[in-house]
Amino acid sequence: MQVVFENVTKEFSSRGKTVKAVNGLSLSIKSGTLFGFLGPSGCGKSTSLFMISGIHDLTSGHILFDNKDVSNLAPEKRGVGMVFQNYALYPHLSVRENIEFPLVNSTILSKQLKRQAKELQIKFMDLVDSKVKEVAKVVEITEYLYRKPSELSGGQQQRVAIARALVKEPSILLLDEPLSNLDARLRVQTRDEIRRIQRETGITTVFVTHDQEEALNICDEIAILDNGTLQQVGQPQQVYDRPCNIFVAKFLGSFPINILNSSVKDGNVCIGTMKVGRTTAPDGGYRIGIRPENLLPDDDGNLRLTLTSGLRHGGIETVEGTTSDGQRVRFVKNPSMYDIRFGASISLRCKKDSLILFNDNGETMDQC
Amino acid sequence: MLKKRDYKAYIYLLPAFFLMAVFIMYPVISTFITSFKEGYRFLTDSFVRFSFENYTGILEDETFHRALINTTFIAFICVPFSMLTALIVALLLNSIKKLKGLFMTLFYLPQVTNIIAAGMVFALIFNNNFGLMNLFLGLFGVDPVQWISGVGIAASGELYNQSYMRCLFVLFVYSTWSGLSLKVVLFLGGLQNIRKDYYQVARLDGTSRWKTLKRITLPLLSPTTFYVFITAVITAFKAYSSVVALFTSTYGPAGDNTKMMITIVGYIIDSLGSYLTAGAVSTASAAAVILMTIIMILTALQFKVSKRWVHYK
Amino acid sequence: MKAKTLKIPSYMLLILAAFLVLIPFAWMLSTALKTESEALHVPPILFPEMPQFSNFITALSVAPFLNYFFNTIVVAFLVVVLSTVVTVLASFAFSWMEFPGKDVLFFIVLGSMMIPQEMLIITNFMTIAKLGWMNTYQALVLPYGVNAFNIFLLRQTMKQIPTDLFTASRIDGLSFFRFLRKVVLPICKPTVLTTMLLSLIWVWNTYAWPNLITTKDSLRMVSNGLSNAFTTNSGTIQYELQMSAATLVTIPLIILFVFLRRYIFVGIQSGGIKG
Repeated sequence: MQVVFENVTKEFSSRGKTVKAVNGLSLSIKSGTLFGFLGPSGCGKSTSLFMISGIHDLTSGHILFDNKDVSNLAPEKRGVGMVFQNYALYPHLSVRENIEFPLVNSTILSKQLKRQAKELQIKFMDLVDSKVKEVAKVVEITEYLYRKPSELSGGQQQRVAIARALVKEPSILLLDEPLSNLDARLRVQTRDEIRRIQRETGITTVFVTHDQEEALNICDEIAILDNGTLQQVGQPQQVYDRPCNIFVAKFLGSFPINILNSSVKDGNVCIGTMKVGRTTAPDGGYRIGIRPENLLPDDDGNLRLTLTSGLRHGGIETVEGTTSDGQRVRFVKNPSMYDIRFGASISLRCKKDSLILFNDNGETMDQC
Repeated sequence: MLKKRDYKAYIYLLPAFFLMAVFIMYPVISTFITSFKEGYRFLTDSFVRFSFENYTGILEDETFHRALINTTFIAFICVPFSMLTALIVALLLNSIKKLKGLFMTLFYLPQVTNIIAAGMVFALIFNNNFGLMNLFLGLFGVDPVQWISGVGIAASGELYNQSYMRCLFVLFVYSTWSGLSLKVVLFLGGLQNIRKDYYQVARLDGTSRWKTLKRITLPLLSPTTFYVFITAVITAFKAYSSVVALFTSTYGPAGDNTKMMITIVGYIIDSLGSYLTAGAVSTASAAAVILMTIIMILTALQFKVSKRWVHYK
Repeated sequence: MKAKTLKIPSYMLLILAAFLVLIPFAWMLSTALKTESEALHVPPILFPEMPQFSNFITALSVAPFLNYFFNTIVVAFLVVVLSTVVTVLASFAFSWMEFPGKDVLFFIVLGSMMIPQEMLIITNFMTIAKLGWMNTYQALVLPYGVNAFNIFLLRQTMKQIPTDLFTASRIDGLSFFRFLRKVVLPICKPTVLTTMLLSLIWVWNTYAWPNLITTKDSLRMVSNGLSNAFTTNSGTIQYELQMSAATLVTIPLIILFVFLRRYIFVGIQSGGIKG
């Protein structure tokens, strides 16, 4: 099921003040893919998700499922399954009862299923039961079917929530910050689970997160939002390598990107007096961005730094140095850099095509 | 720093414990002992002997039976109805956005109203000649009902029972009115503690409003419901001033000499009132012990439930 | 998100319910403003032709109501002051001090929470009588001086104050009492206000105990005074005066409540109110 946003805006008003949570969002989510909405808190990503589900109405614009306008369609008629951030598992029901809840209690679905059961000449509850067991197998919680949610760990509860969403056989699966409540180790495990389940079922899946590593890791495509506005959309690696503005460049990446002041003269990009690249941009002052992993040691390199400090990130070490004009630059320590003494000098060069030039509005002008 | 022994604490606790000792702990023990003193005379502090006489006397006393029935009526008939009404009001309040504060204030007014004043108003409303109730019934062509009158009724018989039923009805209406306040606030609190995303999921699945109420709201509200019930029952067992306000200090319509609407506490107070008579105070004590036992059991239950209720948040 | 179709019926039902709840108040006020003949009119009339505000004045002279009000205010003030001091000291000791027997003593407090007032009346009555304190202020005030529930409630609130504040105060050389006065109390003000308010309402509306120990009109409080002045089993009651008096008794608390309702609602939801 393809999902298309056409110039969607969502406003919230309270006590006379109006806030635009989502502003003119237009994008298209391909059928059968795992799509991520990424951005800081309050950027409108959860709101967008809720608008797909129908829990929020749109202030203006349209949302289309496979070219059909669903903007005014009631949530239960959209065929959407949703996993909430805090799982929303009914504490007084067992796991099994939680999963079968939509099948048994939804007016539309239960009618459909009752008809189906009649055609297949089996009892309604047996049909429900088989669907529950099926989906429990996919998410691998079959052994916990008779427990109460409070007896399960966070990761297990998550999977139950996913099962409950999937049991309706929805055409779209939505997940609202599914990993934010889990501890770091479990996060990696669970996001792979989500990837696996999505591949197995082939359902168009949209999820929302503020963790860029997560999104970059498992999504087929990502959309980055800030303040309700779409910044960039595309495949993770593309967006990472070629951010379209400073916000996206800064938001993505495990190590913060270096943003430096530079000047362009005659096509030469210079930090201070050091020429670090060539560009077609006109002369002037520009901010440039270069990722720590794209600075490589080179005795002939033009970027000279005086080393000041180092930081360990698990197995990777980054080192910081200052340029002659006092700007701080951080780069990833390479095994070949054995002579790291603070106060010493080192020469680096930028990997080809990795230096990003930003104009005054923060938009990317050129990459060299 | 916190772990050292602060003997100063004893000074801090002194006022509280002194008052508790004199006005709470001593009375409990004293009343308990007095309840076993047969034929206790207050003035001389003398009694015949220790026995269960007071208790058996109470259990045979018709007036006490009446008190027991009336109190039970309030606790187990008025309370559930009042709870149902309060629950509906709370559900309605929970579903609206504006004016919630205004409504809550209005519904809470009975609770801050002086009980005697309120009782008097209700007595007037149910007055035979000048009452609002009969005026209202008159709109439907119903003859004026003699709610709380009944001059010269015999102690039993059809007329008496009729009068009794009517008085019970008046009490019923009053209880519902005054009991609404606290219950609505408690139910509303319980409802507001149910996480919104439970409703969102249900909505997404297309669950009908009725099913949502039945399968999600009410089960999740059950700790609150239980707490409200216990609290209301405890209050019901303590009923006294309301009955006095409605039916005067003879607990009944004019001309009634059976203390028709007396409650357990009323029984205690009345016994105490004739304290000069031998055995009066000890009878009161025995009744008080019975009442206290009932209430203590209920209060212990309430405490346990309130812990679970808070935990559920 | 919620379907809009339910909103209007909800409001209508609520208005109906609120209307029913307000009827007694309306009837009380309306009768209070009737003339004698209007009040005794058969069939009863809904609204007085001309509001007789003079009824209020007359009502005050049927019985010494001003006296009753005065007594009630005095007793309320004394009770509030006494019980607040007692409660604050005790709660503080239980929440911030360590001493042998702390758990046992607190258990006793909890236990006394469970004991209904009605049971204590008997012995307290005898105690008061034996001390010759019938018809005195101290008899009205002292039994209400300690309220286990308030101690419990305030202790909860006090415990929530972060330990760091205490440590800091110790470093600054504050004594326990200073800490209580300067740090704990200001933070707990809302809860203290709630307990004060609840005590005030309780005193204003109480009937049973004062009824037992005040036999002289000069010492009566509003509830007893009201009940006494107009309850006659023989002869006609002047309803317009009765309702005027009832109105006068009811209105002060309602006004108080409207302005301070926040405190009351908070008090209920942090663990219930004594019934």
